Amino acid sequence: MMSDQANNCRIMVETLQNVTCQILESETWNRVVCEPVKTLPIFQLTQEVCGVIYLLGSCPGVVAVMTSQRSLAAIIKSITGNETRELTQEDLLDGVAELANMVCGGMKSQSQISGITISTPMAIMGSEYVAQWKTAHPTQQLTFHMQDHSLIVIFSI
Amino acid sequence: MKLLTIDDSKTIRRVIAGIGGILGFDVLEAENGVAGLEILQDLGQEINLILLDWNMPGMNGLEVLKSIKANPRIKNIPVMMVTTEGEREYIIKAIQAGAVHYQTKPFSQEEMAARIMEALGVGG
Repeated sequence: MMSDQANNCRIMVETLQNVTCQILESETWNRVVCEPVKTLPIFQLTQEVCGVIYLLGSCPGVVAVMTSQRSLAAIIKSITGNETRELTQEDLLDGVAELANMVCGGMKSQSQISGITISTPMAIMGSEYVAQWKTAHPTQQLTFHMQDHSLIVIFSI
Repeated sequence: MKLLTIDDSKTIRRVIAGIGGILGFDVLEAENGVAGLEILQDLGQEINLILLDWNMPGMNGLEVLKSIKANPRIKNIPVMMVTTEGEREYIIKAIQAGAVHYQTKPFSQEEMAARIMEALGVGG
């Protein structure tokens, strides 16, 4: 018999996978391929730009959306419909924060787990840093590929 | 015709400004609820539609919506919520507080353009 917490975690991972695929496909007009879910021992940011959101309320946890600057720039240009404009650091930070917001907001709506609220996003960017969170459970990693770009979503409760 | 977008995300404001521009609107932008209310205080009589995010630092969208509807000078400006919050309870709360329309993020250009026209009573 699966505990409520384990069941919620499974639902959230499945929903994150579906929602992220939907967002990337609708915003970038590309086919998205999702790798099988990986379980990692720690929640650690491993990419150049990351958007982090805390889940609060009935199912506390943390979600990060992360990718390279190059891939993020391509995604933001698709979202804004402006392929030619040069993006500033502020644009990239704002873009990854909004992407995390869309992913978590969509997950919250579609998972139908009641009582979850989401924090405002925190954005992190840099070629060299170490950032990790202590969590009670292993981290689930979802990796998405589209053309020559990829995006990673990690989640832990 | 003037449209005001109140959203803490510059990315979303830029998308809305692009769509509004295509539809022939002069688009004003505010990065939070307080800044949005200040613009409405000054230019409320000229604004035809407000697009309002829900999750913002400081005043959230619902609080901004209630402030707008409590102000006799600007309470008749139609407000559309534009948010990642797609649950039924959020939509009901927004409509009860006076929003005329509700659009979840992400959205396509066509979807948003259609919602804007519907919110103004000239589409759908």
